[in-house]
Formats: sequence, C-alpha cells, structure tokens
Amino acid sequence: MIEIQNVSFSYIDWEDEIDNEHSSRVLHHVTTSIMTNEFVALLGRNGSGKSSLTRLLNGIELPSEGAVQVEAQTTRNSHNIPSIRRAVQIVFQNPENQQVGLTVGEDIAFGLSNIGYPHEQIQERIAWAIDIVGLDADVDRPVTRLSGGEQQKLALASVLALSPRYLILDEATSMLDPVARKQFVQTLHEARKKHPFALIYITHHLEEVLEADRWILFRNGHLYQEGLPEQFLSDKTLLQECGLELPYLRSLGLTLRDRGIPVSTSLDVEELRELLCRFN
Amino acid sequence: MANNSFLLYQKQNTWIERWDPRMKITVSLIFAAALLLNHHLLLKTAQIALLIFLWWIAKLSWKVLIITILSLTIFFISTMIYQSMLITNPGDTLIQIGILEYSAEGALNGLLMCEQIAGIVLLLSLLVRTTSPIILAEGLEMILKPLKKIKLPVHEAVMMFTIALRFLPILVEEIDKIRKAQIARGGGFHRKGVSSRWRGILPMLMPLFVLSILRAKELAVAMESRCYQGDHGRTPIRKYKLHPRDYSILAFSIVNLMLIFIV
Amino acid sequence: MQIQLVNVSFTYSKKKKRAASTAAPSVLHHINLTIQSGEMLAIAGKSGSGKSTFLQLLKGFLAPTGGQILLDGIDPNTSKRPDLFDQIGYIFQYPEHQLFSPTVFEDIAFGLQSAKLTREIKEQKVRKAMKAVQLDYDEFKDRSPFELSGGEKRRVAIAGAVVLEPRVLILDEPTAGLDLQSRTALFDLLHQMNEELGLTILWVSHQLDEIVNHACRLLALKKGEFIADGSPVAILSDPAFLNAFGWEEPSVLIVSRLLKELGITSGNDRISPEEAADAIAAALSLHQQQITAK
Repeated sequence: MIEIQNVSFSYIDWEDEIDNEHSSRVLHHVTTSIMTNEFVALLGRNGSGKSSLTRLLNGIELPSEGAVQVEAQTTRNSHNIPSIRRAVQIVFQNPENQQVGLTVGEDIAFGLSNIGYPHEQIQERIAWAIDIVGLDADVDRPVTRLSGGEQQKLALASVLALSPRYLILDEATSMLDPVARKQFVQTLHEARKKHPFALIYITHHLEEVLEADRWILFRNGHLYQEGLPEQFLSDKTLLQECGLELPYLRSLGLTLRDRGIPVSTSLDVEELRELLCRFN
Repeated sequence: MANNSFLLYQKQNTWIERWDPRMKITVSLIFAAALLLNHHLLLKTAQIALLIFLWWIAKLSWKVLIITILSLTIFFISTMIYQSMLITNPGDTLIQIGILEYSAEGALNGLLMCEQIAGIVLLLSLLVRTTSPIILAEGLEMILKPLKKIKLPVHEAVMMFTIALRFLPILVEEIDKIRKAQIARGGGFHRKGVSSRWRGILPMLMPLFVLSILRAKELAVAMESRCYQGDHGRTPIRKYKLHPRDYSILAFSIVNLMLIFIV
Repeated sequence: MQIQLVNVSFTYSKKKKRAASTAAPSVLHHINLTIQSGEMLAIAGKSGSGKSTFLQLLKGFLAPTGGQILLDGIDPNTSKRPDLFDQIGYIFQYPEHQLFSPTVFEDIAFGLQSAKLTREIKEQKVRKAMKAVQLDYDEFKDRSPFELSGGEKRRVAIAGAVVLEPRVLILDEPTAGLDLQSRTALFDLLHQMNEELGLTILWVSHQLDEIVNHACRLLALKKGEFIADGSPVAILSDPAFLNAFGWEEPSVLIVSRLLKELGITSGNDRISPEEAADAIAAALSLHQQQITAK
C-alpha cells in the first residue's frame, strides 16, 4: 500500500524571497492511499498537480509537508529509497526522454544493472521483458529504429523487468496514434493479468480508465473528489471541469437512461441496434 | 538523421570485433608507440601493410579505406612541402618537383612522416570501426578503474558519453526542426542579408538550450526512477574475459614493438 | 490562396537513400490535388506515410523532384518567387518550444523584424494577432512567454505565425498535449480565423473525433499516396478505408447512420448524444402510443 498523508508540495522557487505573493505550490494537503494491485486513475486538467504527485510516490521529490509511505517505508528516509524505487516504477510521456541504452537490450539492461540483478540472468530477463510486452524486435535493434508505439512498449518492458509492485503511467499514451494506443493499453492489461501490480494511470482519455477501480480527480492542486468511476460518469459538468470528456456511446447511454430508457451503462452499438429494431 | 549512420561502428560480428576492449585499447597504444618510434622505412611500410591486412580481416569496406587515406592528402602534401623546406642540402638534390627540391634525407623523412600519419589514422579508425562505442567506453572505464580510488569520476564520464551518443541524433533532428520553425515564422529573414541571419542565431540557440535542459531533466528523473544511483551496486551488463587470443595479440604487438629496436 | 499540386513526386537522390531514416523525408508519388481558399482540411497518416514531406513541400522547405506546386497559379520553385511561401504559415508540433524572447510582444513580433516597420504599425499588427488568438494585449504583452500555461503558450506561438498575415495556416498536431478546455478553445479559434479572415486551415490529426467534428475535408496519406480525399463522414465510415488505417469507425457516425437507416432521424451525419437520445426517446414513445392505440 502507498499512503499519501496530508501532502503538500511546492517546487523550490528561487524568486520566493522577492515575490512572496506568487505561490509555487502545486499540491495542497492531499491525503489518499493506493492499495495493492489496485487500478487507480488520476484525472484532472494540465497543471492540476496529478503529475507532481507521481514524482512524490517514488521519492524523486519529497513532500514539502506531510509524508508518503510506500509499504510502510517513508520516502523521507534516504535508506528506503532504493527499495521504494524498485517497488514503484514510472512510464513517462515521451519515450525518447526515458531511454538510456542505444539498443533494446541495453535499455532494458540499464534498470536491471542498477538494482544489481545477477549478471548470469540479465539476458534471460531481457528476453522475458521483450516477450511480455510483445515487442517485435531483437535485443540488438537500435532504439531509433522503433516506431513511437514500439518505443513506448520498450519503456514498459524496461520497467516491468524490475517487477514493480506499483506502476505509474504518466500520460504514457498521449503521444501515440489511436492504433498504437489501443495496442499499448491491451499489452499493459495482459501483462498485469500475468503479473499483478497496482496501476496508477494518468490520462486525458477516459475510455482508457473506464475499468479502473477508483478515480481520483484533481483540481488546482487539490484532491477534488475520489470514488468509483460510476459516481462521476453521469456528472458531465464535473468531468468537464477536470478537462475530461465521456466517450460518445457512454454519453449516449447515460442520456438515454436519464430519459427513462433502460439501457446498460456500457451501451454498445449492438445493444442499441437491438433496442431500436425491437420496436421498428 | 535519427539513425546511427554517423557512428563509425557497424556490427558485423567479425573476429576483430570479439577482441576484448581492454586488450584492444592496450594493443592499439602499443602499436601506436611502435609506429612513432619506428624510423625504418621498410618496417614502417610493413606495419601499414599489417593494418591494411587487419582492415581486410575486419571485413571493412575498401571504399572507406581509400576515402580515409585520400582525406589525408592535404596533410601528406603539407608534410612533403615542409620537409623540402626544412632539410635543404644544396648539391645533394635527389629529386626536383617544380620548385621543391628534396635531398635523400628529406625525401625519406617526408615519406616516414606521411606513413606515420596514415598509420595512426588507420589504427584509430580500425579501433573505432570494429568496436561498439559503448564497449569501447566500458573498456576504457575498466582500464581507468584505478583512477576511481583518487575520486576521479570515471564511471560518470563514461555514462555521460553513452547518453551523449544516444541524444546526439535527437539533438540534430531538433536543430533542424527549430531552424525550420523559426524560418516559418521569421518573415523571410533567412533570405535577407548577413546581419539579418545573425539575428536568427538567438531564436535558434534559446529554444535549443531550453529544450535540451527540459530533456536532460526528464531523462534524469527517468534514470533515477529506474534505480540509477551512480556506480554503486551495479551489475556489469557485459562481463569481459580475456581469452588466449587476447593474450596472443598482446604478445604479437609486443614483438612488433621490440622488432623496431632490433632492426 | 489556391494551392495546386500537379503530379507532384518526391524521392531521394541516390546518395541520400543510404542515409534514409525516420527523420529523412519520405517518398511521395504523383500527387494531384487542389486546395481552395478557405478550406478547413484535416490530414491523417502515420509517421513515414509522407505526411511531413507533403507539408514541407507546401511550405517550400523541400522542392518536389517531379511535378509542380502552384500557389495561385505560380510555381514559386521554378519562377524564383520563394517569398510566395511566406503567405503560408506553418506551425510545428509543440510550437511553444520555439519561443525565445523575454516578452510575449517581442516573440510575436519576431517575424516583423526584417520588414522595417514603424513602431506603431508593428504594435498594431501584434495587437491584431493577439486579438485573433484571443489573448488580451495589455495583460500579456509584457509577460514572459515561459511563465504562461501550456494553452496560452501555444496561442502566443500561433500569434507569431498569424502576425505575418498568412493566407494559409498549416498546423502539425495542434492539440497534442492540451487538455479538453484548451483543445476546444483552440478549435473555436481556428474556426473563427477560418470564417472571419478566410484563412485556409490545414492540420494534421489522428484524433478521429477532432476530424469528424471540425474538418470539411479529409486527406489520408499512406505510403506516399492519398488513399482517401473527401468528406470525413464518408471516408471514416468506409470499411475499406478504416481497414487500411487500422482505425475503428467513430461511434458518432455509426449511431447517426443507424438512426437514419431506421428513419428515426433524417439527414444528420454527426448527431450529438443528446440529440440522439431525444430522437430515440421520441421514436420509442411514438411506438408505445401506436401499440396502446391498437
């Protein structure tokens, strides 16, 4: 479990002394927790603080106030950091800016090498990681010869190789085209089925997190609301405030239910066709 | 430019590629010493012939070899001119080409010098063309390991080198993009005079600087997230073991070095 | 401005072929195309499809290796009129990354430098450009572009292109990285410039809803050829096309068509969820009445 206790955070602002009015605080008193193997979506507009929160979860940044505890270890204690980082991994938005190796194999090996993975098993583990994300490339392929979707799968392979217990996706799909995005999401969930881990998912695309266990909505650095997705789905105004838009069919399904027509919340085209044909 | 075509190394899995990088670097140094200390024309020619033979063994392209040699023409010419002016022995003129007069000594010196230049360049080029830059860097890191004791950041330097290799093509691409973007909104400043073009420098450098910093920051966070904490507790990704072949090339290069003292 | 492509091809010279890579321009084959003044046109295609080559040809960064590009009937490449390309504004992906000046005003005025304008005219033009992108002149002109929000930065960057009064605006994935509010606002802006200033707008997108909702015409590139050119609604409901792109038909089109086929609505190709729900509810209650009447 990751516990986030009354966390506030501001980036160090060198102009602070000159300009006290200008607040650089990006998170205000956030308290929540993330359970083992839970699928949580962090939602909110750009700059609402959700991304900053993820940097606190593995001790890249430390909270200005409050505490973050990963499996009862606080990020404030630097002795805990290696084991915390190993447990909490991040896939970032831009694949280019998270690759360290020149080839697929070298990039996956980077993390393994850092945690002191036994040398004899590294090659085996690299092959395992490539296989689990279904990357169609051999170990020696230069990373520059991968498409955007493949690069992001590589990023996923590189972190999964470290067997994280919590995986943060920080808008990991936002630079992908719809086809690659769908593939990536599919790959992710398949991997999670085989080797469960908690998923902390930041996105602007609601269809990717409709199946989440919990949504956490952020607004202006505050944890605004949290709960089951169903709680928020019908509240269009709230979603819009958080920069979110319902997928078309969801929206249609909800409106139909409002009009007293009994359709399921996860309305699909087949159901709609059936409903209409029954009457016509 | 996003590929690694500007890297000299292309993987071919030849015999020379499999040599241990530490030994390769050591042997290259010994060979370079042998080239520099050698003042025997025939022996020097033999050494260069050996390098060309290794070039063939390494399955490197002949075209590249010729280009490498030709690119040195200007050095050859200037060396020869320099030698003709330096060593003048009136009366002892061996050859005369235009206004350049060569004594036997001058001509020999000139040739030796040219061979020296060609030899060193071929040697270096052979080294970098048959070794992946990463492996080369790791080899260097292992050789320089003792310097870590006096707190020299050997590992960090090698890591920086590796990352630079990764980001160079990205940077080149970015420069091209920024240049085009600024031209696109520059109202045709690129077609006007030199002063106008100079004004285009800041709009190029500033975004490049900002973007590089941004990338560096993101990369640093990504590296830290993946448990990077410097040299401490890392497993080497490749383990290098010295094989009999590595010792034999070492022995061979020492013989090569000794030879020049004997002859 | 009318843009005409007559049998335009682009291939590498032999030398460059060896250095071919992801960033090198892709090949284009015999493109014939006319873009009329005032169109609102979306371009779709994966990386390597020739999309970026196509855009760079339009802006004159690349010259075609075969055929001609005509801007209002003149070929700027052969008739030595590169200045004609200045009438085409080109906004790269993440244009906010190209900002460099200490103030918003100076950044927007960058393109005016070489024109030797008086201070007043310059100010007037910047004011107009900022108005076009809906940034308040007095509030923003002296601020540093680096301290603005993502959406605002992008507006400043767009203003930097608009200030040159282009007749055509090319945007490469203009909504990438923006949230819903900023995306909506950006498209309101593009529509407004399209309608009020008569600007031709071409933008690259792979967001299907964006294309369906905002484009009058869709060009889809695959392997250097336009495999589709026409109404987005028609193209995006064509199974052969969707298959070729690996795309799924947008739900809005499926539902609209279904309702039309069943005679529940008439003619609306892009029905909103609310309208659809109303139409369905009305149809169902009518049906109910008919049953009770019987």
